[in-house]
Order: sequence, then C-alpha cells, then structure tokens
Amino acid sequence: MRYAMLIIGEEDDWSALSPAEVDAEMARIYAWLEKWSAKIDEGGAELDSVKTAKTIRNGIVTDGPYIEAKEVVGGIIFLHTDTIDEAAAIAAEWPGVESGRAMVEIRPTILR
Amino acid sequence: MKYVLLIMNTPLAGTLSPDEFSAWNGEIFAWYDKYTSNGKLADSGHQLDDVSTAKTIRGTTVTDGPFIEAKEVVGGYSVLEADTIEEAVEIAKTWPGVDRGLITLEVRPVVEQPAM
Repeated sequence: MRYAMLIIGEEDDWSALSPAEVDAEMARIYAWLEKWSAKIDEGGAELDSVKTAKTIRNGIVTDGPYIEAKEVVGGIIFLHTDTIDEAAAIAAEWPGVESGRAMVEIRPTILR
Repeated sequence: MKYVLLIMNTPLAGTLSPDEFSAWNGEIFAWYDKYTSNGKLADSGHQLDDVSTAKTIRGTTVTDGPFIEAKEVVGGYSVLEADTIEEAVEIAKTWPGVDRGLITLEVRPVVEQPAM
C-alpha cells in the first residue's frame, strides 16, 4: 500500500533557528531519508513557504494558503508499506516529531 | 520550476448526485490526460483517501484523524511544470470544478534541494 506522509509544522520555528541548527536539522532529515529510502516512493516534494502560496476558490485567485493555520503542510513524502501502522512507525522517526516541533499526518492513497 | 497543487475537497462536492459526480470525474480524467500529454504535469500525483482514514503523529502519540479539522481538506496532490507561478495559477484555474466551488486549489512552489 502507498501512504502519503504530510509533514506539518510552524514555519516560524525554522526561521528562529541559527544556520548551524538548520544544517544539523537538514543532516537529520537526510539521514532519515537515507535510512528509509527502500520504503520511500517517488513524487514527494518540499513546499516553499505558505507566504508564496496562491489559492483558487470559486475561480478567484487570492494570495496565501487555503487555510490560515499556525501549523502548515511543508512537505509530502510517499511511503510504501504493508500497513498504515508501519507507515506511522516510520513517520514517528521523522526529525522533530518526537520533540513536538513537527508532526505528521499519514493517509492512504487511492490507486487509479 | 515545479509547483505543487494541493487539491482540497469542499463540502459542495458532497452534494453532487451520482450522475453529476461521475460526469465530473470524467472531466477530471480528461484534464489529467490533457496536461500529461502537453508536458505541463510533472507528476500527476496521488488522490488521498478520506480524512477519516488518517492518522496523525504528534510527539510520541498517534491519534486517528487529520492534523486539523477543517471544512476543506486535502484530497490530492499533483505537481505542475511552469515558468512562473502565474502560469501555474492559469493552469490550476482550468482544474474541473474549481470555477464552481467543488474544489479549492492551493499552488505552492517546490523547494529544490541539492542532490543528496
């Protein structure tokens, strides 16, 4: 089964980090990506800041994200696992989840 | 440049009759065919299952359900290839149903990281 992992956090948390802390966090993320590479499917992406977003609703384009929230989706990764619990266990190791700086939503994808 | 389309289902989509729903699905398939063949779709992406199937991991706790309760929920994801966000928005405006409020779209640039 394929599961989408929505990575959610507060953007301000990142801007509060020093360059060295950002580097350390990125190193942890790369280590996670390497550790789980056999379980990761193509198609994921890191999203730019919600400040860069444009939303189209009822045909009208506005600046900003579709919902104003403190915690926003910052990236998507697709996992290939047998069960949602296995996907959740992998996601629980995403850097920052344990400390509460980030959180992750796991959702099955629909095959067409 | 790559732009992510976050595709949000709205409550209005749930009010369609089965016939209207399947006609709308036909439009969506035709849209994906068109933009796959003209090279503007970098990745057709995935449709996500209903939010009721979601699990959220916060700290060391796993809970059932999505990370946020909202009227509009992320139902899918695709990636566009466009020169500017304005071009991506113009393409997004043609996504079936966005003009009728069945779908809300958020367009966001993808951050390209150096190769691992």
